[in-house]
Amino acid sequence: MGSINRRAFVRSLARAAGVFAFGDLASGLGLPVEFVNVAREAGLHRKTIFGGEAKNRYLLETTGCGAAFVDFDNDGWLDIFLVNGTRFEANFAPGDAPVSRLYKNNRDGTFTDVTLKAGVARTGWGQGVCSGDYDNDGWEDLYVTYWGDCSLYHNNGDGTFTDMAVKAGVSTRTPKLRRWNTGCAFVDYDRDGRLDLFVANYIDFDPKTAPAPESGPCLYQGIMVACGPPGLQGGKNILFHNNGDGTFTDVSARAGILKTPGTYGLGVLACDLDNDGWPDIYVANDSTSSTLYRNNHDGTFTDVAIESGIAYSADGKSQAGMGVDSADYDCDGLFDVVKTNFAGDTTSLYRNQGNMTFDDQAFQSGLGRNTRFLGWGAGFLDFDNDGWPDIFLCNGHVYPEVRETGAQSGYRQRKVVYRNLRNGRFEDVSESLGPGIAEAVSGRGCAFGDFDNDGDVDVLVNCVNAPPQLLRCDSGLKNNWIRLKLIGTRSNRSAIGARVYCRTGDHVQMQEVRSGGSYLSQSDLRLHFGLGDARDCSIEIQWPSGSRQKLASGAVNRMITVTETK
Amino acid sequence: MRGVTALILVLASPLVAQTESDAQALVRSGKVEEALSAYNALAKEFPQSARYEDEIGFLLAASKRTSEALAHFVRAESIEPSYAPAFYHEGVALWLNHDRQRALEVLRKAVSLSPSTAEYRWRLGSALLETGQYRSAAVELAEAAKLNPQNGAVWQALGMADQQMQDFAAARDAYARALEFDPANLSLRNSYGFMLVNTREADAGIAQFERILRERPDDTAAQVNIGFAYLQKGELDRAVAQFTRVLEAQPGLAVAHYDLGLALKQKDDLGKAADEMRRALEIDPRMVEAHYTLGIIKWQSGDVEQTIAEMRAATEASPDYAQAWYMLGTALKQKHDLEGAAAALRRAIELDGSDPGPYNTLALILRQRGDEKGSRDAFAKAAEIKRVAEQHQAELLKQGPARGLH
Repeated sequence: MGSINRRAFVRSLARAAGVFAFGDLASGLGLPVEFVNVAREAGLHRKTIFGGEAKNRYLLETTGCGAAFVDFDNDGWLDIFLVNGTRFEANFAPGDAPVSRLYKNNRDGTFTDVTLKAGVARTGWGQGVCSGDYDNDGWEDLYVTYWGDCSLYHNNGDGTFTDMAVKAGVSTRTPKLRRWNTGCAFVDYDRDGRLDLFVANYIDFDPKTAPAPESGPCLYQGIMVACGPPGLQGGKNILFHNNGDGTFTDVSARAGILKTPGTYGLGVLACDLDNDGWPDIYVANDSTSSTLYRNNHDGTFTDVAIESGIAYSADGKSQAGMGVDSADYDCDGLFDVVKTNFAGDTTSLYRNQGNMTFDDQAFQSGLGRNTRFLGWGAGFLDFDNDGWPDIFLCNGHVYPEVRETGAQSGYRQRKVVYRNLRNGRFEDVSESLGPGIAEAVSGRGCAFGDFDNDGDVDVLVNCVNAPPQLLRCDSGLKNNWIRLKLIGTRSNRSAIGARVYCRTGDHVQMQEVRSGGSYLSQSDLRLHFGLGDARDCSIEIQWPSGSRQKLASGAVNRMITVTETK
Repeated sequence: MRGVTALILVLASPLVAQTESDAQALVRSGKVEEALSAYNALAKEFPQSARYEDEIGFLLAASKRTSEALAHFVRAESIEPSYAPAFYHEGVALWLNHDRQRALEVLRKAVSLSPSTAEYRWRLGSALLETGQYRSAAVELAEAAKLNPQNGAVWQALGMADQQMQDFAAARDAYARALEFDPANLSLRNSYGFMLVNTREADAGIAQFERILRERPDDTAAQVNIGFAYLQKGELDRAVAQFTRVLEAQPGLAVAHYDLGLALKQKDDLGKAADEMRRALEIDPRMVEAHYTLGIIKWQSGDVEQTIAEMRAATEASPDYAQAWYMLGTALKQKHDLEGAAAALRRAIELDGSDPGPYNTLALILRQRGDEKGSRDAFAKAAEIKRVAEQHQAELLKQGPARGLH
């Protein structure tokens, strides 16, 4: 029996006989799915600039930046926004300074750089990006975080944006501090139909006072590297409340956000983790316990991360959290959380046990087998459209200096992809998923979305001091899928926070529309469900306003736009 | 004072001085019995001389007539309770007679009577080192080194004490001083190189090992340590190659199997890593670290049962192995044996309360068992330990000592 036939046999067996044996049987077999880096032919050839290429003096130069898949022109095709940084030592000529870039999808696999025309060409130490229609005008806006003042790009609906950060009161500028803003997310935390904004903070960084490598000296495996973050004062996160008039108010103190001691916040996840209909906020913190702000339904939050079991590793230790995502990977009706960490550690997989308690199942699930990668971007995506969320991890060492030693997996690292075996376990299938996964890069933020609208989820990766990767998923599988674009009316227009249940037979998947996530990045706001061989599904939407809406998919392998009933 | 008077009398008498001089000459020429006779004669003449009693005791002890010797030391001490050499010699005799507890007491007495005698502190420090009292040993040996910096053996012993206390920088410096006096001591050079590796000077460590191998090409310790240096540098492929080479020549070397297993584990080659750990245990079943590391490998592989089995083996072989108790507790929690997990974690905390990890895990277990107060207390303790550690790190960064922060 040839391998193709054997695979087909295994797949059909899995569908016919239930899922319990599929993982074991499929283990070790190649998958007819591969990811191919098409960035260059797509027109994404500009390098992201971020600190020194060979050596870094400050930690600020190491952490890199995010990426976004966002349909800014509402044409149904995902456009791309790539955050850019700069260099301390560089003296760029006017017009040559690196800027964040916006690329319009040409609907033929290529993109056009529309940065200048769109008015989003800003230089500086860009960090993260998140999107949401904060003024409910039907056009997705962008918030871009920086070390220093952030930008709120209001989408004017004509292909241009206007930076409203200062006017809206979300620049994060303070008289005394220069905040190192990182992950962000639009979230309607009070469910008033208007998107509020959460911004994580790493440290309050001042190069004049920050320790330099030789002042320690700070060493990693005997190599002098940038110092921190342990030993530096962690930053405080900010929550902005949307006033409904184009401005925001900093409610961090009132909302209880400032009660959490200074942390080194990076990835942000806004998600209803306790199924109470109110969004909670999880922050992956570097080198300390993570934060989980539980929504108290009254405009305040309580940090419950430690007692919930989602702050530390399985053995109760602090980790260097970077990126974060959630999905109901075991389809039990509760959102679980994946978090990337430093090299020498494993990725965390917090299984939601209900009642806001979690158990790190990294080892039992099969994620403990990889410790040599340093993870950044993270996402649950169903790359094989079988209806079970898989895990995609984007890696790269933090210190460019390690490239000299060949330590661990080096500075540039490949991706890691785990396939969901449908029994609580995952299988590392990275080596069978093609050159896009195998190529070693200095990966940081990554976003997920089907940029070519061919029915499988692609990945956009921002790399440090290298061009980005656009990993097109080429699947030979014939599994079905459905995609939903939600438009809120009573709820916020982007439908951020809306939860969708997708039922095929006894199998129920669950997703939420989410702003921010992964590592400082923004994935497609539309929801993509793999359906396996199911030819239809029933959909139930739980809107942030509290209303519920049911519909049948009808034909599959298409996108459905659903507007919230008034 | 009586002793002092006796000594003055002895020195005052030319005849006595001659007799004593003869006795010392007999000692030097190895004629112990004749020397004993001479000192016995002196002791008879001067029954209140602690020194003569001590000399007799010393000669008897040297002749392995320990019980007779001890009686003379005791007599010397009763004659002159502040006569430190008697206590010192008695301590040494007791040590040689395997009465370690009493030996330590008497050696301490000698040091207290004569705190500026380097030799007493050296011997006391060495005895403490031998009995696993590393902190006290390091104090005595450091003092001995200060009193007599020209004794290479003191520096070596101090290095060993510091190494045992995991103060690798201090151990490195002590071994470096010891090497100044004994540069041909390859074992000492190995220790020095090993400490260099442990203080993130892997390349300097490798240079030491290579120097050893130039003189003694089959020095297994140096060969293994080169591999260990590669491990510390994160150069895993070179580490694997080095350990593999060592094992080709000496397949029965448990430590090389263990180190090879460690390198393979760091490469995430868990199957082969487990094989090497098992091989190390076959060769040396007492290697508790191999049980522990094999347990961690099994943990990484998702095999909770086997993790528990290995951690149990580690804690049975070494009941004070805090990390193994900690990991046993963690694994038992995953198996939902909350009672067993709590007991193991409490034992880990008892042995080493400086790690917030076991407190956090214990707190989660107590919460699951409905003990809210216990849970809060454990979380609070963990938070306090974490806060202090973070504060310490901040101070280190401000002060600027060599530290790798990740």
